[in-house]
Amino acid sequence: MTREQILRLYLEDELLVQKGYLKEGEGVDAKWADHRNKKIVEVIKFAIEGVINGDSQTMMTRKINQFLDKD
Amino acid sequence: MCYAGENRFDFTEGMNVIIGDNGYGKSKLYDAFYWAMYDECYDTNEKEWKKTRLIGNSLISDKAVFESSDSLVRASVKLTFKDIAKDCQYIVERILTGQKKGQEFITDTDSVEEITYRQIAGMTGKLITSPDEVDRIKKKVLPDNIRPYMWFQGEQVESIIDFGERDSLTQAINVLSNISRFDEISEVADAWGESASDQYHRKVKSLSTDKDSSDRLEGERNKIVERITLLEKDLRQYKDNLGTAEEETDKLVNKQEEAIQIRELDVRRKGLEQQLTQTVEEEQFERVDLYQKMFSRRWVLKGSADLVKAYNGKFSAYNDIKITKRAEAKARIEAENNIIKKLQTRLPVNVPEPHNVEKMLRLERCLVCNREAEEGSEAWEAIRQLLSEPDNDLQELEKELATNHNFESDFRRLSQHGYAMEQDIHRVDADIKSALRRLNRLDKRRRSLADDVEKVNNDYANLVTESAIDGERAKRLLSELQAKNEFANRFRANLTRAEIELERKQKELEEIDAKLGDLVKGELPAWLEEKKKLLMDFRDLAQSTRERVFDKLVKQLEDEANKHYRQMMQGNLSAQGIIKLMESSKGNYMPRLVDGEGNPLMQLNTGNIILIKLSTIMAIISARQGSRDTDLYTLITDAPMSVFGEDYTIGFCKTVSSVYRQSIIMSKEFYKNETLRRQLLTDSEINLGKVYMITPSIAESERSNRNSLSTNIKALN
Amino acid sequence: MELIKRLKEREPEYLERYHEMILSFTMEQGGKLGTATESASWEQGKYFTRRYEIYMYAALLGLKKDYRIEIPRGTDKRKFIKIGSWQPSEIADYIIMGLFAKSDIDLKTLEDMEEDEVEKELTKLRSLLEEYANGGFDLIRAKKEEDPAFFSENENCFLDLLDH
Repeated sequence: MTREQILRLYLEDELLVQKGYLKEGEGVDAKWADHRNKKIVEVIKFAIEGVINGDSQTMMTRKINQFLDKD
Repeated sequence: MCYAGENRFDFTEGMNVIIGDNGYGKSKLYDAFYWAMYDECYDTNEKEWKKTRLIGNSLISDKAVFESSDSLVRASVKLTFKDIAKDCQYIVERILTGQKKGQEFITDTDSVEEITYRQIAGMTGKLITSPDEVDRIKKKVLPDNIRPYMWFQGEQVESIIDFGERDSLTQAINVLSNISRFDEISEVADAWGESASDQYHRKVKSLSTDKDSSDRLEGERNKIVERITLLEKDLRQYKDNLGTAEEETDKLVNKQEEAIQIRELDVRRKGLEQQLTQTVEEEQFERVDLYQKMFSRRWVLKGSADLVKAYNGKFSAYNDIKITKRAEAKARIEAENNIIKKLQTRLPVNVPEPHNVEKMLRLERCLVCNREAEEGSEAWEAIRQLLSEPDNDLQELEKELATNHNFESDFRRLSQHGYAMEQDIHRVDADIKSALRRLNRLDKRRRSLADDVEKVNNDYANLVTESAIDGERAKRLLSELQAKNEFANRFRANLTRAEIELERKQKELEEIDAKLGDLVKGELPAWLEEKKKLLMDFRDLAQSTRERVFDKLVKQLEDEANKHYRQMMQGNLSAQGIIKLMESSKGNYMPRLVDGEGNPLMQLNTGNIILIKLSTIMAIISARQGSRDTDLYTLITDAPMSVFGEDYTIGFCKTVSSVYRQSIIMSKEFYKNETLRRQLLTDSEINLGKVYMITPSIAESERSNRNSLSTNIKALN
Repeated sequence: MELIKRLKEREPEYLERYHEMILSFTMEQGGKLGTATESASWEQGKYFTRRYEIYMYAALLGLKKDYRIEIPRGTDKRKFIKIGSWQPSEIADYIIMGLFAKSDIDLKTLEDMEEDEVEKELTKLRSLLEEYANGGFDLIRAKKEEDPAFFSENENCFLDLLDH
């Protein structure tokens, strides 16, 4: 599966609409480059990247903290 | 069974079948494939794989050891794989050598492996020496993740599809498509969620206005968290236990059905056997009777009526002569007497009347002239002459006719006897016919009963073997079932209790967290709030998506399995149900049969269960979209088809031959059943490869001598 | 009944060479009747209970077919029980009737003979019986040779032979 295919599967999930992150239908046929403005999408991408690259848990936690921490 | 000497099989595309009865060496053949590739064999008694070093000696044929002139014996298996795309061959050979040392025979500890690569056209082979390359080739020829579903023995069907091990369905689904990615992402999400949660919580603590209260709350909180962890562990345990109990109950319920069937068959066969014994006795009795009738009903006289005629001819002649002679003599005597009478009397006959004459004789006096007539005197004789003497005549007659012997009564008796017997002779034919008819009826009945008995005995034996229940277990089944049900109920109760408590504790946790939050002065940083929310949501998302993807793959697997299942059940009217992979309390998946409403169909027989499992195994490979696994790799199995019954066996063959480009099936079903064998060889819907039949070289009864055993391999097409 | 009675005192003989064959078809080996149950003996392919039964069978076979074979002097023979002991006696009587029919004895002349002459004739009748039985045995032997399975495979063999 490509990164994009995996991402799409997450974006298609009802939960994102329910929790207000995406509007109905926005996740369908999304491309990797889409929705860069949405933090949740970036989080997902980080996870996908890290797992496919084979990064360690520690490294991935550090990366996400880097992205989300503000001080 | 013994494969001493050189034995060769040439397989083609299509479904190749090796036919042999139990004990003829089919399992050994399967072992050969596996051993050549992986240096192991499956021990069916202990249900585990064993490397060569653990089983060495038993791999070498006794006959080969016995017959070897020099003390070395070599066992080897050579598998030739053809790469159709590249038009080259890989030859995998494994060799085990052993040596005779006096009375003992010792094998080498390890086997030797040789992999050769060659282009078919050129026919030059190159021995592969690099271990990495060897490994690569073996994986190329049969990838590890596919192996369990392509090369398996009948006994392993249960365990392959058990999906009881938490990860085994995941493993299977992974063959379809790589779901492990989603598991990994879920794990990452969990870790992130937890770390963010901790981070948040620490911040809350640090911002607390009342350190003492927050410490106290913290203490309580920790206890709650501890308790929650324990409860979660317990919950997992209870779910596990419940799942196991439910599975075992299911198995027992199914077995119960079979146990009932077994009991019924047992009763039926005993009844039939009794009838058979009775009929045999009756028949024998009739037979013995038959030969007694030969004499008591005069059957032995059949066709001899001419004798009676002949004898009576003689007897009539004899009789006629006697009568004639008597008549002649009588006439003559009468004539003689008449003449004498005429010459001697002057009076008319019977004058005086005889009573007067007798009086005169008594008185010894003539009453006419009143003269004395002494007895014996001339005068007395003259008077006597007046009497006509029939007695005298008779006596004279008899004297004339007298012979030395008088056998008339004997001859007459024989004649009468002959006539009496003649009457009997006339009805002999009809008599024999009706006796034979009766015997025939009994014979027919005996035959049909014997057939029935054989069939029922076979069914009984098959059922007992395949269901692995004997008579004793069958009786205990009901109480076992009850016990298991009780367990299940107990676990269910524990589960519910734990769930309730967990909910309560989680609520308590929330409350404490709220209290802790209330103690916070100022505000928590927005980015932290956001981070926590994002990562908790992501955690939920990862779980949800994983489930969705997983479910989709499961559905894909189900659909494919049902396709195979339907094809195999084709033509069977009683076939019903859809295969569904259902999640149990344990969290694992079991293939089940359900009806239109999704209700599980209970009481499946062993045959059904195996078919479902086989369908699922086949689906794992065939459902791989975009893959050519069924094209590239060979199915090798000795799946137990006997539980299916004949109809399903052919359906199974059709399905297998259509799903896999090449398969090698080892079967005993086609051994005894010639009709089935013919069907296999002629059915156009079965894409057939080579069919071999293996038989032992010597008969069953002599097989105790292992030194002279060998195997005959015969190609049937 | 004197004549028949006297004849029934005779003990006929059969050729030694048929002894095995006779035994093979008979349950009774020599006076030990009742040792084996009838059905048990049955399976051994034994159709007759006593030896005289098969003798009667053979005699009737010979008589029916008018097939008799003289027994040359000096041939080995075996004797068994007198005709009077044969059961059922009706069959024995019938056979006697048959003998008389086939013999060249003139019934009337017989009655005129002297005692010793009668004895001679009775002896001739016994010989005749043996000759017809001999013929019957030969027919059985020939059948066995021509079709070995006939007696071993066919449980109705002697029944079928009646139609011969």
